[in-house]
Amino acid sequence: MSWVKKSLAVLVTALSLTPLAVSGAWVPTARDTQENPPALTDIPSSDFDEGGYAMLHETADFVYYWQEARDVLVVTDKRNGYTWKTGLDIDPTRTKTVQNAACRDAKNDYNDDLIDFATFEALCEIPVDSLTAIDPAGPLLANSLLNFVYYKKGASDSGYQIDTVYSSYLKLSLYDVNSTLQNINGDPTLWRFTFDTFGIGVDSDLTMTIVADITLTAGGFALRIINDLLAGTALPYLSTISVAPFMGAVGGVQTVYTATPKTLEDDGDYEDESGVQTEMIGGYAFVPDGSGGLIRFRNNTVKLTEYTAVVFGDDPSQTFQNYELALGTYVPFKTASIPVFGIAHGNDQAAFVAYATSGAEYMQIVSMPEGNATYYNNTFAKFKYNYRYNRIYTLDGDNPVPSIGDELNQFDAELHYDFLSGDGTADPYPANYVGMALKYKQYLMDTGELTSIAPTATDIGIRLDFLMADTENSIIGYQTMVATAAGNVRDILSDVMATGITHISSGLIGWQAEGVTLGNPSRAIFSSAIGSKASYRDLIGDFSDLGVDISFYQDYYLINEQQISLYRNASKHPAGWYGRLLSYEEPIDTFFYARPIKSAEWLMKQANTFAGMGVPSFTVDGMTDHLVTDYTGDVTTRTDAIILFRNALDALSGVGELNLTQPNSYLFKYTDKYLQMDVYTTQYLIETDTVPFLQIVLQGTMELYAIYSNFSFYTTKDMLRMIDYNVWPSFVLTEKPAYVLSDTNSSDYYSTEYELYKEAIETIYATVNGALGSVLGAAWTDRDVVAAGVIRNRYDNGVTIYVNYTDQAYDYGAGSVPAESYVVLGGE
Amino acid sequence: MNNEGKLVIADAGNARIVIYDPIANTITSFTTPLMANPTGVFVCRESSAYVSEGDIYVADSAAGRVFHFSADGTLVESFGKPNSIMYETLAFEPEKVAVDKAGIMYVVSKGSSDGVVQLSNTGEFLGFFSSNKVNLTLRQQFQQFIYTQEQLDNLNINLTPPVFTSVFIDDGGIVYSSSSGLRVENIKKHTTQGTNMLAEMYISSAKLVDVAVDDPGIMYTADQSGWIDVYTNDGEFIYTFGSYLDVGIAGLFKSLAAIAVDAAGQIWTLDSENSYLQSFVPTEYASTIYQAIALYDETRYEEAVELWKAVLRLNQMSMLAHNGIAKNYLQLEEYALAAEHFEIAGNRELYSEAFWELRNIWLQANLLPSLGIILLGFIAFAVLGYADRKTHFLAPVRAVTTKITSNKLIADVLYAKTVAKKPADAFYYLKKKLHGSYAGAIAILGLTFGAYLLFIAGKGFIFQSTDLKDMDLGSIILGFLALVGLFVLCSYLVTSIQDGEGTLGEIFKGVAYSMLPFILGCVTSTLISYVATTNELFLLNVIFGVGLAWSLLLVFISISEIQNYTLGETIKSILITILFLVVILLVFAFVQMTIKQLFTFLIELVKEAFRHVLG
Repeated sequence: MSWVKKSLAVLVTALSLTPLAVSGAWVPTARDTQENPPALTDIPSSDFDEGGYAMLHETADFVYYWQEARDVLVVTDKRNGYTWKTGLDIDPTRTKTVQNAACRDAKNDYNDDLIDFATFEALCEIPVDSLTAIDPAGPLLANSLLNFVYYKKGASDSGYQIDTVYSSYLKLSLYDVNSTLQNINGDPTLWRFTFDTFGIGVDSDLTMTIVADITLTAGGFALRIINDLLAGTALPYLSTISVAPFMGAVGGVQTVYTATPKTLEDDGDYEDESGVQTEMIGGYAFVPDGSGGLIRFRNNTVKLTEYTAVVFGDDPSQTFQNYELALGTYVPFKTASIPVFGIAHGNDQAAFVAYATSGAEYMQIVSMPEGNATYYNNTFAKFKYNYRYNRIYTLDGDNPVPSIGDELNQFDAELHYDFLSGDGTADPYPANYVGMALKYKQYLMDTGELTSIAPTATDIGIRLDFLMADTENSIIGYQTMVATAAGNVRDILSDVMATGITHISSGLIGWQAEGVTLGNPSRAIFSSAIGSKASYRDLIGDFSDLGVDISFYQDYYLINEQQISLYRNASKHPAGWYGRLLSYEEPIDTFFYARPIKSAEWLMKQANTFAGMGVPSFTVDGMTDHLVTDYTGDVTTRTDAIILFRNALDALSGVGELNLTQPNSYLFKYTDKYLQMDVYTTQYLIETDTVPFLQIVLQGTMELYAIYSNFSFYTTKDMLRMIDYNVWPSFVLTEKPAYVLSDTNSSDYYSTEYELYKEAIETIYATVNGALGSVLGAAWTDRDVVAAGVIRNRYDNGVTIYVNYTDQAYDYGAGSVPAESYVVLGGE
Repeated sequence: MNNEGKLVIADAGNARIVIYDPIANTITSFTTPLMANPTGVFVCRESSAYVSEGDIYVADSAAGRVFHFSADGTLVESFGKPNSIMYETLAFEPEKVAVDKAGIMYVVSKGSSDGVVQLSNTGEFLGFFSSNKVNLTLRQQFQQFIYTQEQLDNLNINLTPPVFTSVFIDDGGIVYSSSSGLRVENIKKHTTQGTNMLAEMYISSAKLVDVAVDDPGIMYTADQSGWIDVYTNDGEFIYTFGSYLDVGIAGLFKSLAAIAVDAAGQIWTLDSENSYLQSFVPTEYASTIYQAIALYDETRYEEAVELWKAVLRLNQMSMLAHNGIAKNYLQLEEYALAAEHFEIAGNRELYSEAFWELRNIWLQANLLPSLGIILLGFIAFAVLGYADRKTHFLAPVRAVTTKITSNKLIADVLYAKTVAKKPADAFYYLKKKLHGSYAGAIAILGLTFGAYLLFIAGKGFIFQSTDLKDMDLGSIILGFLALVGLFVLCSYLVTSIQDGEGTLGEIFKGVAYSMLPFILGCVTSTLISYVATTNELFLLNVIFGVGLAWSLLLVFISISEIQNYTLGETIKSILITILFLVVILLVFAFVQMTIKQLFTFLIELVKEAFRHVLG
């Protein structure tokens, strides 16, 4: 068996390997949503009029304070009495030594009868956080509003070691920091945070200034790091800036002190115990992994790896060396396509959602599990300014020389923190992931990035893509293997329509001469073996009359040397060479990244041809979910690429509909059909739940189509997931058996023959349409887990859909939901 | 995994044995004071006179002992280093243990390359159950042959056999072992004598650390780098999954340390560095494969075919499924279908078996008619000959053939027939330009190349091991031309300094005209390959070999005749020519490499200039 076959076997297996499910009872896994976390029974309240807190502003919902000494912004939500802090607000001076001395003095005073036992207890029984006890930088890290990482040896370092500087100024010998908060123009809602650092770097000769404007908004606050005001001699070496890394953090380990009263025989005394775990509260962090993941707060018995997401996906030019190895034989990791995260405390009690409104293309989202670096679960955002790479002088990359980028990434980083309160009865935003999604959706609607659409049909849609052709090696050059010809598409679509399914859209993959891998993205060359221009035109025209949307699918991101010249077409890595993706596939094993300017140009060029053929829509892949910085000549940054892509799609959106494959949030505005929508997370071990966050954000604003059902996404539970996640079914089909393409780069489409999926198309469509057909045009307002494995989705047209994933019927009061089934209640 | 569905885990770091109940999500543990670093456990699944169901054996390398606990964690007995003269000089550091129904322990001792230690139920040394062989590459074997001991020591060739890493005994008492080393015999399924029952098999991973076998006999292996490979009960590779990646994502491993399988086919794995358990349930794809294999073993072939077809629906590219279908069809005596699927699966050996049966059936049905037709043919030929002699009615046909054969080029080509039959005279006439020509020689060489191409690319499925599309036509042409051209050139250069009389052209013609037997050998064996099975491989080789040898002999005679050499001179000349040829090829390879580097350098230089100048 060749390695190709082997890897295929792996893919089949890995795709549907599920974690433990003990036969019989329903055992929720991280691929499901679990029941709500436990409620917070007592919400701590503090007197912020004392202890160095200065009130900044008060609105109908919030009171804002500033703790100058510890650099903490405090927001008290008047709706639920809950207080959020941008840092842990730990007193850095209260170390174990200090507290031991305090206990000792109090004990002596108590034994000398100078104080009573209650006072002794009050003075002594103050726990000390392990962050203070272990590392002097601990409280700085936990309190700081901002911190930055820089290459500490500056230009003198060949290895580019990094160090972190915290804005919270504790006068340690580490470095000098001066961070202040000042009002802007007397406006109580506008504040400027200036973070000055002196004497950093190995020679203590570098300086750095970061200025962040804080706006106290109606929903919470926003923080903007102003690019033009970044300054200092250390600036070229700035790697990342993190914002409020411990906001909403939960957990911690303390040293606790217990005072004991004196007896007739013994004096009063005290004991200390280190390593006492703070009681974990219920709640979770939301991370935008795939459809959305929750990381519930828990004490971990082993050290687990953190979750880190590069928003909008890795930049091959800045993340990898001059080549990137394609992933192994496991399911590809999911991308964070929206710059959002959030934290919820308790059971629908208090939460915040944070989203970037600027600089998202350089944002990373990090969630540290308890038991990793600190004993806290903390989730936050950081922004990347410079990067390390290896400068190389040969294609093999021998003797690389470590370097950092010549230019910093230029952007203003702005994060909005919106606070949510209650269970959604007082406003539409419950303090959970649903509220976070709805809040973010509202922001996108307010800014015109999303608009509601009216349903175009009375049934849900189905996506039927066709894999036409691809190339394999031949004794002379390559030969094209045709799996589906234009005529076959006509036959298959007619056959499907004969079953009564009419709301169909189709993309033709590999429609061009030489098929998927060698078809030239910059041109439109038709081949009579696959489909001539005339046959395509007729096909598109005939089906367009029947309401079926057929379009040409094209990847405008990955290119190869056999397909198109690399010169002026492929993106350059800062190392000076074309960035490469080594795929281990056959026959083409090396791919390159198209320059963003070319992607946009090719799209427009091909679209022009397609429009002339009367296509109702355009299907775009690759450039929709990838951003590469191109170092050809004048650098095209990720920000530039976004503008290029938005402009191109904006121009096209007037010509036809746009079907985009897993678009990142900056393309939502132009998306009519979202293709290949994830319904899972990457399955980081720290993730405890999977939720349809992205689906809640996008529902009702575009058509959402699931990943292909062909590949282990066709079981009853998968259909239930489509209903639960509000996504419509999709298939990729061929007329001939898939093995026709087994020696091509399309060999990972291992089961596509229409004859095999004829029945599945009908069954899956009927099942999903049975539920989602009743909520067309309605807004999804809430989703909750009413019992383990039973989901209730509510819509604003009065429809409630219960989805029961378990093998037991669920009784919802007025009736019951059969095992592994759903019921639709209410509505017309 | 014990019979109650609980996992028994050796917690080396805490020197204890942990019993984990995955359903209740609870753990219990036990230990004994002597326990130091337990790394292997074995749970007895059935009671016998020597062991009880649920008994736990623990291998502890640091303590140098094997502990025997009852199911409730009470220490029954422990076994230290055996008191045997044979074992005196060897270390006893048990890492893994397995126990059969007679209480005989199979122990993998740390770093031991001697084999699996077999101990009686009282702890006496019974011998080494199995041992691994050193696997040397061809080059290493050659070095072993010609190098001195000192040189060999410098080479640092590892002559220690791969070490065993784990041992497992299934309910039927079959012992399995895993080893870490090259991908040769890493998994063994032992006979009672310890030899390996598995035929030569594809092994997916090298650094195996553990092996587990489920009730139907499916074998699961764990590779330290995080790969889990699954094989059928006779060692056919099914699939692999997992990977090394320390990113804290489900399904990936930092250090895969152990594997177990429960009755439901769930795979349980331990990551020793990240300290967690991961389990995997079989997918529909996997369980259908397992069921199909089981049905084949139960001789329920028709049902097995249906299941394999279901596997094909899930993965239309599954070679395993085609192979499975074909194997069942073979048993059902559906040879044509079997052959069809074996061909898709690329299984030449069994295809040959199916083809043999098909040919047999054909012969049985058609032998007599065929012989009849041949006989009739002979009679008809004789009658026609007789009639022609009487009436000359075939004269017009003969005139046409004579006209064709008298064409200069065709006659020149056909002269090769004379060369093959009477080489000494024929080469003399060739030299004297009485027969043959350059055009004829070139045409013959063209035919030779065509026949050679047919032989390497056009054989029947059984004998055509390389797919046509995986061949590089350019290098075949280049190789052929280079070989013939260089031989002719070298021969000319060598003979010209050895008082040879032949010119370059004469040598060329001599070589070309010698090729007819080779052409016939290639064509005949290629044609036969379509009707032959592996049993007749010898016949094919003989035909090809005779053709080749005959042609080489003709080349030899041509040199002798053309150069007017004695036998000794010819041999000497040819040997020097071959040596010269080898030297030229070596020099050429070296020069080509250097030129390629220079060329790459120049290209990169230009590209770099383009990049920096034009951006």
